[in-house]
Amino acid sequence: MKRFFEVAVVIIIALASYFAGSFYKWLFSLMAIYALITISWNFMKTIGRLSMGHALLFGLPAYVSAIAYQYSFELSLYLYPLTVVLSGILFFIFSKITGRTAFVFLTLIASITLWVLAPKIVVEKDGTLIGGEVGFDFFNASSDHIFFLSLISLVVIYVLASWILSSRFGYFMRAVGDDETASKAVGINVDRVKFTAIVCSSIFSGIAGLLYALDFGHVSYEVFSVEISIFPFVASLLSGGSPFLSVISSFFLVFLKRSLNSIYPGLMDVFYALVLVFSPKIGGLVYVKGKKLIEKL
Amino acid sequence: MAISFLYNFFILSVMALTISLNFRLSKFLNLSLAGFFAAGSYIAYFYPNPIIALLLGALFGFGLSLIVIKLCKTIVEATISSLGFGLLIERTLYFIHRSSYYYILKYDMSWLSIPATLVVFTAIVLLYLSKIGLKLKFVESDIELAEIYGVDTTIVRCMTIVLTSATVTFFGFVYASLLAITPTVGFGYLISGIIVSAFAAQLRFNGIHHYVSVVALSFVLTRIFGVIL
Repeated sequence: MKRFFEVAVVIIIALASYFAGSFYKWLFSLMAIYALITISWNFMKTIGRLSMGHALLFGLPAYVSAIAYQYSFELSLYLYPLTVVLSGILFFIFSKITGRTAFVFLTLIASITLWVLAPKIVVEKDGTLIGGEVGFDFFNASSDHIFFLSLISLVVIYVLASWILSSRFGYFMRAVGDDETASKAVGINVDRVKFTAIVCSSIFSGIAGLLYALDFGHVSYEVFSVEISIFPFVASLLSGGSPFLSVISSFFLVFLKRSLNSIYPGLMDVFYALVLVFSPKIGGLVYVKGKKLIEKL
Repeated sequence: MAISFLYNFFILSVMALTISLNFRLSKFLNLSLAGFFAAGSYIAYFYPNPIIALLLGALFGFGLSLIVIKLCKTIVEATISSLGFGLLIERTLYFIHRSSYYYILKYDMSWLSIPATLVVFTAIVLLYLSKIGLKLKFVESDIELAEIYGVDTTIVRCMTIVLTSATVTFFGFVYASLLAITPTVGFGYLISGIIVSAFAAQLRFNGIHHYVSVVALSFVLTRIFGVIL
């Protein structure tokens, strides 16, 4: 019943955006894409891994597909799922070779490295160099298609993630998140749980990246930006740890970004930075107050 | 070519040293250094006075140290706060100076990097060979135990952040004439410095030996890759 209510709220927001005009329809698509990143991030957080480099999972499949798209559509189709899985495997390797704290650093550094390196990537097509800071053209879907695709993806992935988290496997994920050694002791295959959770998270983020590329018809190095990496952290921080509220806070953040940036370009980034600086205080405050509020409701 | 190699080696080693110092003494990965470097470059363009770069770097470093020491309880919290602080500097620069790139064509301050790097190397060596060096090694190996034995760890952490911030801002100032100045100009150096610092940490040296290994690795990596990022 609770899940039904949550999905209904998302659909009502979607319908309101659809009928409000083409700008709001497009804005909802973007909100849904960013909400997908947050769902993916929360999913990985359940196994106790806080990723600060989700831009890699989000951007890499789309970026590689866009490069391949310059040569052939088929190659792009093959490389996309392959890169989604490989990105997931990369994060799994990170989780194997590092502890929880070092995982935060390694994922962030990996995504910033891509962000710095990507503008230097150029390929030759028909004797012309393309890529670099400009990026690569990609297949562009119509706004109606993107709207419905992002809405369906959001609803399906949200329900699927909630279902997994409340299943037996979800309890294993929570157990691994709480204490890996104790989970091993009670017979949970920790590596299998971590691998499955990270690859699922990679798939969710990869879908968001693909929708983003289809929406803009273009992929540049900005898909690896720090802003995308920190977005799910900020959204989750402002929602006090509730999965549904983190989707709503993602909507709110995207809406706020459009509003603030229309006042002065770059204003939203200053807001993000301030939230990060004071995140230790904000996190505690929102989490405690939010939990009390949710308990009251 | 040789000059270019030296410049790359100097900036890489200074960046790696400041990252190592912050991680070992202040106990967090200081991701704001990219912002400090960018701030130094902008100061070079708009107010070409190295004293301003040093003072502003120290002042903002003090602000960062207050946030890290007062608000953050864990290494992850401090690292995320420092990332936010760096982004705040970077975004503010973008916010104020909307132009994408700035170039300094009238003068060249890059020669200052040679004496400045030597001063940084010498200062670290002298610091670790002095009486304070013992306290620093104590803080490096176990900060809680160091505090129990009477080392003022708050001062050590605060001074590390202030001095490294000022140093990186100064190097941003010095290198500005060699670079296209943008708010994100420091990120490549930051990442390269983290890579060198992480490699050096694997050697498991303590005290001055660690910093010597950082400089040696910076030299080797610059020789192999040139500018890494």
